[in-house]
Amino acid sequence: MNLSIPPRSSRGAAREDVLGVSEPVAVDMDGGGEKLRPLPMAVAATVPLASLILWALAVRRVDVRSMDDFGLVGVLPVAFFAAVGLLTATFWWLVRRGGSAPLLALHLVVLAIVLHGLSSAIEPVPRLDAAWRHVGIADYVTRTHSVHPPVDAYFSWPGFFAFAAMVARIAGLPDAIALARWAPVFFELIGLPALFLVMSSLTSDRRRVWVGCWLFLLANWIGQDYFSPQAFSFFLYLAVLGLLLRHFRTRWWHDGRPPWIDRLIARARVRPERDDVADEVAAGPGMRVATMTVAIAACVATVPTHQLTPFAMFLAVSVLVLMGRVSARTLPILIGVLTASWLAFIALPYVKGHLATLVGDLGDVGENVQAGVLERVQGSVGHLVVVRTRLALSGFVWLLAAFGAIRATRRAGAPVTTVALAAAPFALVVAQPYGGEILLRAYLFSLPFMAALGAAALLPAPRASAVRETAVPSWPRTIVAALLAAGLAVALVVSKYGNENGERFTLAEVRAVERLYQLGGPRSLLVATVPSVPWKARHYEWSYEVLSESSEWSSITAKAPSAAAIIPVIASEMRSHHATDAFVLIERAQAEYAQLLGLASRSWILGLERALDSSPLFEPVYRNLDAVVFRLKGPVP
Amino acid sequence: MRPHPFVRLADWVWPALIVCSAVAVVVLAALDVVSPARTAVSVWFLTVCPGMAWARVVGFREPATRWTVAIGASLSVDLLLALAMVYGRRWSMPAALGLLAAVSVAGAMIDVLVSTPRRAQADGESA
Repeated sequence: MNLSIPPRSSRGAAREDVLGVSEPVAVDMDGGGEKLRPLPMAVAATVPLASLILWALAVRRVDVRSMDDFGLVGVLPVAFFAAVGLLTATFWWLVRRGGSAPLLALHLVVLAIVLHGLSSAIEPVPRLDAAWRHVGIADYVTRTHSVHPPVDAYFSWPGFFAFAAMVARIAGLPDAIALARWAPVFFELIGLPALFLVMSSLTSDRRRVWVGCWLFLLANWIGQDYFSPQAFSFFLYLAVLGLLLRHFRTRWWHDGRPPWIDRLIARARVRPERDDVADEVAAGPGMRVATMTVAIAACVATVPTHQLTPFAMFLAVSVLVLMGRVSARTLPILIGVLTASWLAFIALPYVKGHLATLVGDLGDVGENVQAGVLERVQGSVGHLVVVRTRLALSGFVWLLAAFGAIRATRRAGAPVTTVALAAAPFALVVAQPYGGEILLRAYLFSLPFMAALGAAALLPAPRASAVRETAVPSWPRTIVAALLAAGLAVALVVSKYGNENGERFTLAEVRAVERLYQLGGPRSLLVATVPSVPWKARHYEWSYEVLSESSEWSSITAKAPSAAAIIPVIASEMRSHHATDAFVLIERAQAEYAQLLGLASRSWILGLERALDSSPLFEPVYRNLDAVVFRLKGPVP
Repeated sequence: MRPHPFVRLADWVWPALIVCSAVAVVVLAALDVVSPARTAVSVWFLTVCPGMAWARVVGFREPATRWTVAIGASLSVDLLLALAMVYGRRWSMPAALGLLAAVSVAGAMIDVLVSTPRRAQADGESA
């Protein structure tokens, strides 16, 4: 199959109506056609590499210490934005001009690195406390060669951690910290072929495929590509859907539709998009068996890896089967049986212990949405701007998708499969809040399909009668789309790296945690004020306490840290754990994180540090530029 | 060994790359080399090679499908193998690496000795 965009000079002409304005467009048929001349080709090939070099030079000059509550965007040099601008300009030029698949793919790869590898390149250690936790669980598997479900929920879904432990050992690493640092780039890059497969199975318009992939990278601000089970299983989710859509597609347009779909289509008075039936792929029985084997292996690997992804996978595959779009009718049953079996046998202790949490909010959509959106709109002024940018970016992507669906419906027929796949993940919102993240996760699972629809909004639509047709965007449209894409890239940097000041760690902070481990032992209690700490990468099974997660936190932070009652309350709380000794770690990231999310002011956390310093109940045992460790004095019962 | 008359030099590139990657990872692990190069080669091998070897045997030609199958199969097999070792209480990195290297090399050998000549012959005959 030809993956390149056909060039401009070709047969046919069509008109489109966008916002009531008709514009003449050249129309191409897929495949064949002239190639770019050597000079433009050389320029198009050089620009991504030049952008990458410019980016690499730019990130070396970033001074993260001057970062404020707006995150990374405020400290990025102009050269970074120039690199993104150059890349955007040549990509859209290639889209209009008809670029070859390798050139367009090169642009996608470089965009993934430039946008999603920012923190990996700038910061010396992985960002996010959760990434350090995940390193620690992999370390536990490496040390004990086993899992221990009573520790926490991660051990009931240990697939990713066993995998990470194996990779780290084979790679000769003492732990998975180096892997965690570059995980966002790794997961974005390995997802690209599967993303392309999904996109190219939903439309035969090559321009929409490439632009859809581009939009996905620009709108993926969720940050679930860090070293985590969800990043791993999201790749498997894309791979399963891509392989099913490509190799198990029915002759839907012709005779594969179930009767209820036909009745629904007739009632809605829309005609389905003929482009929905993408290029036929000559897949022999051996290839289909191999594809199904890989899809089943991916499903089997997803179930023990992540709690939520099997449900998203089940929903998406079920939608495809119910619509009659794929012939793999038993796959949803397999995913359902595997997931239920895992919950009933392996994860049963966790499920029994958390039944109220798991089903307590079932059907309470309002509560689940509130937990995902409203409770996040709080914190410092800079953080509020970041949160609102995230909401605006998400809303814009959804609006663009809706506009694209309407345009496609008017012009070439309703993209019913893409719309159904985009909508399916939002059924998860009915189930439970998932720690206040369910709306974010639903956004991510629907994003490939939202991006596919968004691409239809940015590009001229081909005629309904012409399958495999792709219309050339006019220059004004190309320029507007490129400017929009550049704006989205900036919005992505604001959204994805907006919490960076509280989520990044310095080498000094990591050294403080190392010192903490030397001072403490398996029966020690280690305490921090808020969760943003680079700990648990070793000794995961030790006792950790985060004060902001206790019920006393709001009453503690209501008073000044120097108030007489505060330090004794903290000491009393620490003594109640019956540890052999107890330590408090206060570091830079905690102060920034607390300030960002409104858990406490930066000055309150720093004031607490001073209060602990002068308290007779505590003694400082380690101090560096960014962190202090205090030991609780006296007997700890 | 002389290549089959229908096999082009380009058809040897991937099998050679897969075999070299497998050998490199095994040798680096056996010598317990500590180096970023070992990390890079190991991650490359575990992410791509076992699946790519067999994706070529099956004959996926479309790049997106081939890469999706290669990475999807490799990562799924890696994960399931690691999980089996944990739950089976048989944690052994030499065994895991040996198995994955053997799977990759076997796929590469079948590809270059059986599958590619057969496909090339079929293409030649159809042309």
